[in-house]
Amino acid sequence: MTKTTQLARRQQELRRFGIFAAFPLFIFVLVLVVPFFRGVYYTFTNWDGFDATEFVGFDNYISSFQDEKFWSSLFVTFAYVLACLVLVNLVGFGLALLVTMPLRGVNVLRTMFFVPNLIGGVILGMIWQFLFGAAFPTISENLDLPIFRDNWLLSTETSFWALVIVTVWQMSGYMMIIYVTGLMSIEKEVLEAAMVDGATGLRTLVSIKLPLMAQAFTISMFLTIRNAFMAYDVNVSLNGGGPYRSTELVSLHVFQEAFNYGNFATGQSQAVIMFLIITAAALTQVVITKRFEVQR
Amino acid sequence: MKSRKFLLRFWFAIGSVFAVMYAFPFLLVLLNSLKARREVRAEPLKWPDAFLWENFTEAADRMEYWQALGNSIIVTTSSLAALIVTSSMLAYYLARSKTRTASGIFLILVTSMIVPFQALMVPFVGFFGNLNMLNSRFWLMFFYVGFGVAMSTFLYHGFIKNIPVELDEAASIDGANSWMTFWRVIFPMLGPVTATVAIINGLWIWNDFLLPNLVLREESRTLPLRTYVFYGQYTSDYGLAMAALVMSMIPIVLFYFVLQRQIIQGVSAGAVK
Amino acid sequence: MATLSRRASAFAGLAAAAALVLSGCASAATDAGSSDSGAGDDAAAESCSTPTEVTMLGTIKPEIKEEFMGAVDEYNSTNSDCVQVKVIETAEGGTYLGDITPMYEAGEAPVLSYTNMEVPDMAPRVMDWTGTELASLAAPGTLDFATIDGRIVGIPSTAEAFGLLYNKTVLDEAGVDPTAIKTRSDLEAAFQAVEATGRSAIHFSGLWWSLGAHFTNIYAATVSDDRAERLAVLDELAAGSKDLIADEQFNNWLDTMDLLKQYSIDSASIADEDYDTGMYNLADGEVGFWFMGNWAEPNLLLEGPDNEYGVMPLPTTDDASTYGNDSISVGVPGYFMIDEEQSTEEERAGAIAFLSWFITTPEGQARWAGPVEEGGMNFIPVYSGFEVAPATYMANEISEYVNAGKTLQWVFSNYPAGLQNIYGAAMQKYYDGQTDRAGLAAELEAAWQE
Repeated sequence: MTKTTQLARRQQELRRFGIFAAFPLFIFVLVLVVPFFRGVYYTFTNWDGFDATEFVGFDNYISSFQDEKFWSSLFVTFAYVLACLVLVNLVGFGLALLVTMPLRGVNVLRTMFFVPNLIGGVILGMIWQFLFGAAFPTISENLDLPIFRDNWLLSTETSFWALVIVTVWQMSGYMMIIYVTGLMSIEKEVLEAAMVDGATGLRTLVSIKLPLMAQAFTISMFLTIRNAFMAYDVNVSLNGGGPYRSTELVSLHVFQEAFNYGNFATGQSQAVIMFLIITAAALTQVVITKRFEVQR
Repeated sequence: MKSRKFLLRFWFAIGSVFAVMYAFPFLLVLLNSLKARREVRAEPLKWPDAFLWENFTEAADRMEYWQALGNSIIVTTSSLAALIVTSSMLAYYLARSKTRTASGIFLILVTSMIVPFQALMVPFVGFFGNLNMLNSRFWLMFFYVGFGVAMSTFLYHGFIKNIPVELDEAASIDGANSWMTFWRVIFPMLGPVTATVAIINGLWIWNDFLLPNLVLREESRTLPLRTYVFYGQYTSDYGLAMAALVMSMIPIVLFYFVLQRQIIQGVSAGAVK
Repeated sequence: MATLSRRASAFAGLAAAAALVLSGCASAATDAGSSDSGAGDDAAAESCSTPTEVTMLGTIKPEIKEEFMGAVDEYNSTNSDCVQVKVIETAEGGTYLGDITPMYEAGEAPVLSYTNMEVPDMAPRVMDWTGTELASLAAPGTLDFATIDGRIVGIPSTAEAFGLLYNKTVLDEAGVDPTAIKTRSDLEAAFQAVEATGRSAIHFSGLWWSLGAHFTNIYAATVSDDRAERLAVLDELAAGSKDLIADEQFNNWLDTMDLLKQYSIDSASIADEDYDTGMYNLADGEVGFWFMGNWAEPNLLLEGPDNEYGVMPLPTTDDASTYGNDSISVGVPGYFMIDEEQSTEEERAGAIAFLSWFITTPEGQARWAGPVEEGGMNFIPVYSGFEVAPATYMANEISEYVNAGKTLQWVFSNYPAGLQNIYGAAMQKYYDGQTDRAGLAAELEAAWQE
């Protein structure tokens, strides 16, 4: 290759970059990258939300880790992510199996299951606050069911599960769609061959369907983990992290630390830690589930 | 095959039970939106004593519903348009360029998808506040491009990768420059993935709370923000709040019923790519 | 845009040869303005062609948004072309720091803002009110919380009070005179009298904030009649040297709590609790008493408009002379502060003029303390020279307690951040019967070590 053609190619590349990529990337950098690094910079200062006057090294990270409430919110978040990971995908997959059966009205069912996704977390939280606070206690009084007699949002354990229930109710419909696509992508011949070999329904599910649609699991689980780690809206509007901050997920904790208690630098450090944790968790999950994917 | 028929009936019953469970919260909100404040608290399950249609008119009045609805529509559509244009162009560049810079950029974009908004919020507001770019719907559109471009580019990238380069080359032999090639040849082929991008981002932007809460003031506030009007520090106006919830859900649910097939397809296409 | 107008007003200020914009525009505002605002003359009127915009963050409380905005409109349209107050509305569910820090960062800090807990955070950035007329009018004690390092950084809005709320109709019917209740035994007799009319005596709410902040305040404020000694108890708790269970007043206070539990409408369980139930019970006359504060009065009047609602002390002993048995807990819910870092002198003067109009003129006072039905905010005046008396029964009662000096300190304002949450949780356990006195004492003591 001659020098001139190389130069010409580079010029052309540059022109294409200028035309197609420069503007979108400019916005991306300005809106996301700059604030991110600005935030990282703040974590090494004594920023109080107003001014940052001196560098303090890793002090903010040290005090983040000394903040017991931060640990407990991390713990709650992990529990929440785990519970959602299992339940959302279990329910989502179950619904997917259900709506791919030759039943009457499956389309209606599919529509119903997806509707919670149309509505934002804040509004869903408000709705469920009313359900747990007023509707369920009344129902259980009428039917003499003890389980919902007390407002679930008022005690530690049940408030956590209330949060999980709402999340499962919201996210499972979305995951259902992904699993349906996965199930449909399996060739009919494969399933017919299995039937001929005399495999039962359960057997086909475990040994044929599951491995062939592992990619759908990778994606759903990635999305669940990401969404659960970042959950904020539902947390705020459903129980506000209560009772007594026991169900405060890490997103809300970071918000409170900065904006309610005024510890801006600590809050920002905790946000950075949160980012690192999410990255690690997401990578781990993708690496693990990728192993189960069958090359087709 | 009798047992099979029975089995299907069984699953149908299970499915119906689930469907009722999924719809129940909405039905209850609808029911209570027609009640007086006290009736909502005291007897949430009862059929309304009298239908209080005034709840809707009063709620619409207090939350300035039509204005909020207009704001939501403007914000969502303009942001979507900007997002589609920018991310499809960026994805086209990244998918066609074989340089290391391009793959580096792609990697950064993918990583940025897991940056929690909390990590950006305060520095973000400070930075743009300084530039006097807050308090405007126009710049909100700009911000949505910034926050949404990574995911959308990712979706477009997967699709464009599979469009043969020969098409580009043929166009350039016909004398089209790369700009024209993209808009005349490539972009029209992106219909399905554009639908996906529009749906996934549309749901996000329509329902978003934190960002517009930081950026929009008074008369330009969107539906999710205005719904909060009925929740007080100690006590809430339940009848009105329920009516407000119903009214803020109606537009998107209607939209969904009209475009159901496309939405479901969009979601699944986006996920599996 | 605030920056724009600030620039504009800076020019205006130059043109008017530094004559203060507010003077000469409204005579009321002139006399009421800060002490250094003097020298109003006709020349200043010309500067009004470019009014100073004074930004105010929030509407004091969301509950009185309409009334506050009404007052601002009246001020803007009638009093002055030179000062225009512009309210920056805050989002529901937001926090003060969340709203204000971005504005500071953006260089668009509001001139006026109003808050409580965050007053110490704001202290270095806001104006010292020392020597201003409004600060001198403020009732004694109301400036304590906002006096930081010798500077008065904020001026009070109103007084809020909590204690035993009562439904006057119910008490009249039961033949109970709330002013005659001086001891715990009197209170029990009153409870029994109410029960004799076929009602329940009291609704005792198990809400964490009510128990954790307000109810524990009854102990913290009655532990001594001396302010320094009360705060010393907090220091002892912080140091881990306070033995609560050995404190007689601690036990007295819990005796009263047990009494409230015993006569409460439902078997006390926090799971039944929400604010509305208590409110409805009192408004409907299902009960005679409710432990709550005067912020509930508007709700009560809305739900049960035919009754009057009052507030009375919560006696902790059987001795009428015990400190606090004749007093209700009264405090200031928030303070007005004026930014000094990013505002111009004109803006600060404008902010003072606005508040002076609000607090010292007849029109302003009607907005400040007048009844809600007439567009007032129903604030209990904490400034001398008020011509407008509070409109409602409870507000009047509180006013009387304040004037008679029968008030308990809001000691819970001095709790460290987050303590009232932990206190609330511990109190709920005791309320629920899940722990005994010794257990509660241990938990309250441990709360300080977190």
